[in-house]
Amino acid sequence: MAENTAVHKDIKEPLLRIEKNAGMSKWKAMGIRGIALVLALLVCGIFINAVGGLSLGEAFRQMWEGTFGVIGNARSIEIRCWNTAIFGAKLLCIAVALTPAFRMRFWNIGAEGQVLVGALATAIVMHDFSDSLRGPALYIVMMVVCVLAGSLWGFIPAYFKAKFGTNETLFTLMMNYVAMKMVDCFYNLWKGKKSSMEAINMDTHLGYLPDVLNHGYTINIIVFVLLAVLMFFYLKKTKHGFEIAVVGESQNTARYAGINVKKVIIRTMILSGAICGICGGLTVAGQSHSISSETTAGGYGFTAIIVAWLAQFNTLAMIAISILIMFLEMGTGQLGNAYPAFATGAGDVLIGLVLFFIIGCEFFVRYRLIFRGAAKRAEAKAAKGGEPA
Amino acid sequence: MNADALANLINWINRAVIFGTVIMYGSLGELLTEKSGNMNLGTPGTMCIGGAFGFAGAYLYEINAENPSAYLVILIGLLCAFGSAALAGLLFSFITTTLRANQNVTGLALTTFGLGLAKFIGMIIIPEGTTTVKAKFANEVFSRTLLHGQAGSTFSKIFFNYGFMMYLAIITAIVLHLFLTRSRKGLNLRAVGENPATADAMGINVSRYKYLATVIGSGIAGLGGVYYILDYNYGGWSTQAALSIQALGWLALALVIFAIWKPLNTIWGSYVFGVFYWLFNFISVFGLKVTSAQSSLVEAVPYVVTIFVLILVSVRRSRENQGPAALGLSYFREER
Repeated sequence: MAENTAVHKDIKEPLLRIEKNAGMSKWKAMGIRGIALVLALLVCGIFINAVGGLSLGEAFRQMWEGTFGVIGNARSIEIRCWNTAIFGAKLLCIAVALTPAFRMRFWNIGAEGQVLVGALATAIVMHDFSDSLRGPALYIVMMVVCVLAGSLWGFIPAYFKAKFGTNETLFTLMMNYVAMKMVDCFYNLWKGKKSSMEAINMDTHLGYLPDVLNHGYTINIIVFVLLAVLMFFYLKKTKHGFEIAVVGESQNTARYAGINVKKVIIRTMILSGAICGICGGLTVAGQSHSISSETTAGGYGFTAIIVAWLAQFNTLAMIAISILIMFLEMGTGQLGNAYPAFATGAGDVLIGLVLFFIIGCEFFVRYRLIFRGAAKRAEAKAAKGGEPA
Repeated sequence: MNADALANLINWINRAVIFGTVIMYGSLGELLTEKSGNMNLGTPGTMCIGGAFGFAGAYLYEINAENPSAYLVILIGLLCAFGSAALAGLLFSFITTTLRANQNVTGLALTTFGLGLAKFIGMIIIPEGTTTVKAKFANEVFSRTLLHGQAGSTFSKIFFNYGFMMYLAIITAIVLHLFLTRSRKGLNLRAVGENPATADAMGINVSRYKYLATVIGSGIAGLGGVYYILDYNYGGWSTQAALSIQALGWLALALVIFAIWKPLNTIWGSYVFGVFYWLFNFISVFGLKVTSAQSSLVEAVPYVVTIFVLILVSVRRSRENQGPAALGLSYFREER
């Protein structure tokens, strides 16, 4: 024993060791994330102060007003909150769509494209078939095609992944751009000689979702939130959800357990793509009534990846992160309106900064840092406390 | 072939090569990064950062100097671009290698951040009330060709009608090829990307290789950004230019796959992408006419071709044509 210690003394202990930290309590983990968020906002505050010369409080007030409206002004609150709700719900919906794929460790980077093809399919039906299809039939076809288009865009990379092990990250990434160019093609086709495309069926409003509570997109918000709830139960309570989790943990385990891994991969990606497709279809039918490769999905397909990953498949966390991103996006938009220094780019810089902090802080949740001599100190402490007994 | 069509064809090749050079820098940088097992989806953002800072450096120098020197403007432009992009790579490395965060998520965040930062820097640089500004002198220096404005033969028009950065890109590709296949360090780097645990056991410092490859790779990608602004875009900066760089950045990622992770393939691969990208503009060479709607579909061709390459590579499963085996995975020694 004594020899052993002597040998030990010769090996210099590293200044810093990293150890896996499995048993951290939920509250402590939340605390670490909270600290990271505060630090991130502080850095943002410094940036805002340096650029625009305004105080953190003033910046926060502007951002709040941009997201939730001017306090005390009912009209402003109504407008802003509705706006935040629809975009937040859309982001949430796409994140929800990605969750089963990520749970399976399938990197679906292609949500942007899946949303766009869904939107395109619905827009084509609205544009070309609203004369021949009337009433409920039109709506049914509009919804069916967006589901089909989205799931096709999910199916293609999943099939090759399951069959040949094709790298899904790069595959789905490329599919985005194919979808974007297809949307561009129809945009240019429908735009004709005008400088930009006008809303489809502008005069007849055929295929538009009906107004509920004065907004065409109320139905969208309801459907998006409903999908989030359904997905929660699908992943937690169904056999499919269990299979997805097993495949994500280890494909070999899944195989030994008799799970058909290929089938699960393809089925899950069809589901993932289908939900993205619905999101695109509803966006066209209820909100934008037109298509554009830049605004229909609006980069949310990419942002949602970050949302879904950070939330670690937790639906409540997903809602919280969606709201945070909305706050940053809408808030910096308002900052840009009020202060020209923030008009271009500053919003993305702030969003990026906050994301870096939140992404980075997961390290401190998953691992523990042990400094040199920590073991010795703990030993001494234990010896001190243990002696009387 | 009549003279008009020939001139058109040469023009097409010239545009394709210049376009290809932009994405060649991006994909050479990404290739070096991916060889270390780091998949940096932040490359589009990194290229934007390189473009913005490189432009800012060159522009500020030329408007403040009495007699701007060609060598200094090149030096400042390239240093600013390389340095700023390398810093972005350092940030990525810190978050993914030291903090072991997911690479895809970090990369996407870096792209958002980089595009924002580029737009922001550009807005500070350009005079108030304008949306675009040109670095005239820097553009002149960067796009000065070996022809020196002389007519030249068809041959020299095809091969010598470019600024120095085009040749630098080819040299970079060759150097990278020699480094990866002929040097001990290059071999070590590939080991890190293929199997970090084995590399670690061999006594290779995995983190150091990942850091260096990503930082230098990002710097090279940043050169693509500055080349886009100072040559391809005729020295002009605008917010739209930043968006274009980002779009080309994604194409650069595609090119890495298209080249099946081999630097020499990126040389001709990038020009093929360029030919496809400009196809719609020069399709009249073949006596065809396309509408703007059809041209969008033509623009999708590089992506579709990349998808086919990706599938082909995975179907054939030959070991030489695969990407690094540990691509996209974080490495932690104690995690087995």
